[in-house]
Amino acid sequence: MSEPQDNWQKLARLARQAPKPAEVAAPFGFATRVAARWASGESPAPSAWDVLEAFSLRSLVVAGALMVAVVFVSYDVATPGWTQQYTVADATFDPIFEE
Amino acid sequence: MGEQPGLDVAVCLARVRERDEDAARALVEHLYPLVIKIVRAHLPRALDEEDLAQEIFMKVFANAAQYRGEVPFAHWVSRIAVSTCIDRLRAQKRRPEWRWADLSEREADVLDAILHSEHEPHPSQAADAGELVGKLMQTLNAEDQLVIRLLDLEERSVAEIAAQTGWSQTLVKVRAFRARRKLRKQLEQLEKQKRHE
Repeated sequence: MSEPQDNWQKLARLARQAPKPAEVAAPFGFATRVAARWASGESPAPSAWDVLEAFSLRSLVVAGALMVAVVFVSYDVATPGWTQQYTVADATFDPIFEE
Repeated sequence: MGEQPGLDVAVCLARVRERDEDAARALVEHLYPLVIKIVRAHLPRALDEEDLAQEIFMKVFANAAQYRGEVPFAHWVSRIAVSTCIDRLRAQKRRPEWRWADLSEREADVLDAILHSEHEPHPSQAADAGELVGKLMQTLNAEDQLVIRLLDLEERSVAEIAAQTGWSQTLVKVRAFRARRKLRKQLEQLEKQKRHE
């Protein structure tokens, strides 16, 4: 994948030679603070993805419920043949029409 | 990550699941070098590394019950650390591009040597090259930054990156290809600006 004059690879090769930071131990009190936060029942901050996921799931439930409601309410419109039969039948016996 | 003598991770983890605070503290001390290395490699700009490390540990403890031992514990923690860093990187705005005038004098010297010298630049410029790479990476999205850092700077294999991120190897390769193309384009633009100065 690399080209003869690949400036990016040249730069990356040089950057790799930069001195690596030494491995460090946890700063004083860090482990105690984290353990105390966890023991107090504090939960981690939700990530943007977690929020999106929760929002999407709720939206899915709401959308599903709306879809069922819409199908229920507009069932007559969605099945015109069935409705027309009733319309004709109703019209036949409608007292207003008979007058 | 090598296991520290005197700490049995499995036993410690079992105690953490029973909400033992001392075990949690020992585990944090044990894992800190691993976590802080990942945080420093991927730390989004203007974010405190200690805050991010704390957030990672809180996630590790919150999900400790889900760890089944199918992968080494250090790998599992690395994955949480990497995904937390990606979330933070995603939240940051990408820089559209860098101009020659935005570079420090030393970064400009490194770039000049890279672009116009047929020889390899001197290793004494490595730290400045690292700074310059960090700047160029800010033009990439979070996922591309991660792939480039692991592949080109830490020289991890595609398989290792796939294991650490949960992406397929094909996706890793595609992301690396696209990210390198963007970085090359960015370098070409900087070169053009330099020529027109």
